[in-house]
Amino acid sequence: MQFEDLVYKVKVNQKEKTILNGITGVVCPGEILAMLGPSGSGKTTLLTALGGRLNGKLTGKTTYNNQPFSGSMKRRTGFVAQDDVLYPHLTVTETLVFTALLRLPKTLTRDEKVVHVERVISELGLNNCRNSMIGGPLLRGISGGEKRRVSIGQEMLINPSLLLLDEPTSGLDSTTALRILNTIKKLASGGRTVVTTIHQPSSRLYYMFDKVVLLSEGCPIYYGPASTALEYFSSVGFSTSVTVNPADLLLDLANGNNL
Amino acid sequence: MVIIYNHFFYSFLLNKVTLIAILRLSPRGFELCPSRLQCQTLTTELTRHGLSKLFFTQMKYSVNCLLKKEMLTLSWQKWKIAGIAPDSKHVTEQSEALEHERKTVRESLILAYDKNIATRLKAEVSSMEVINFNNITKDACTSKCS
Repeated sequence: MQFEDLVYKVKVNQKEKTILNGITGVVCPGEILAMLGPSGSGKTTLLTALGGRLNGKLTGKTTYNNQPFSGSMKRRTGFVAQDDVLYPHLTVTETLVFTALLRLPKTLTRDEKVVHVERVISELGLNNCRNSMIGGPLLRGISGGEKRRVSIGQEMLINPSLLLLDEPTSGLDSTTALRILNTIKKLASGGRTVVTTIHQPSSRLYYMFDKVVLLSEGCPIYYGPASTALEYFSSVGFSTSVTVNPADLLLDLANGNNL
Repeated sequence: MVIIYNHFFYSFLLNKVTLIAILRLSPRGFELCPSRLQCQTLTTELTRHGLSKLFFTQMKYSVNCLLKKEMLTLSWQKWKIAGIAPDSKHVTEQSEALEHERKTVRESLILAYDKNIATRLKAEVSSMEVINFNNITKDACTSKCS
């Protein structure tokens, strides 16, 4: 997937506000691109734009396998939103079977769809909670990490070539976040293109990303391999002598805080 | 209250709590000793006594050990009243200065991006247009449903 010079503007109180300002990048199959930045920097907007779900004045060029966005591409794109919208009274298996029945083509029989669900449950490590209810505010259910995996599972059912995830680890402890990212990494290594927004990754998570785009109020300030970000900032005069989580440092810079 | 150790080093008593802030005289004023250990000790002490980093940031004085040495410069007069909340005019001036500094940092980072990354990236995007990934297959795929 390639995106070039993406600019997105909205009108606020008769004034035009630039939400995304000239974002360019490339993500190849098997890679994970992480979008980093402070709150309100445009991460989710960029993700939504890449998923072809952004209405309004978006300019620039986005191509998927050198083709423009189309209905067929949309069908091959999985989009995991920030909030898990799940039925609290259904079990994990019921949730995924229900999704499979709705989203998989009619050419598949019910049994084939169930087999597909089983594969996804196994791939996402949801076997232990397969018969547990999702739960909600008034009903105790599966954990937050498991809910995130169910949401990812719903998108995995269509076996997407491009997987877009909005804050897949927010609100989770670092161990669960690592587990989720391991799952995502496994999905990417299977030949999928993964793009994710992430708010405050631990250093363990940070180094799992192949590429990083760092946004500051809609403007890109870094794009490239995650492993060379610190080296780059050091080369332009923003270095630190102490060992810190690179993601923290990048967020400091995106906020305009000098090191 | 200020206790002078010697000509170059000072230790402070603030709200009856001893804070291990060691300052060094420099041409620009007083600098926090840039030793990481000392900064950490100071940060721990400040936090323990409920004094947030924000308070000191408002005073244009940061206890973050990652800050550059020049950033730690503070006025002697300001430090003398550090135990007392700064007046609102002073805070406004400080926050404006901080905002200006943030803007400058952001602008320099955007310029650096345009200079060092944007051009290279556009060339990379152009070269990618000839690569076709159609022959790449993904696993866990059933041909019927993909």
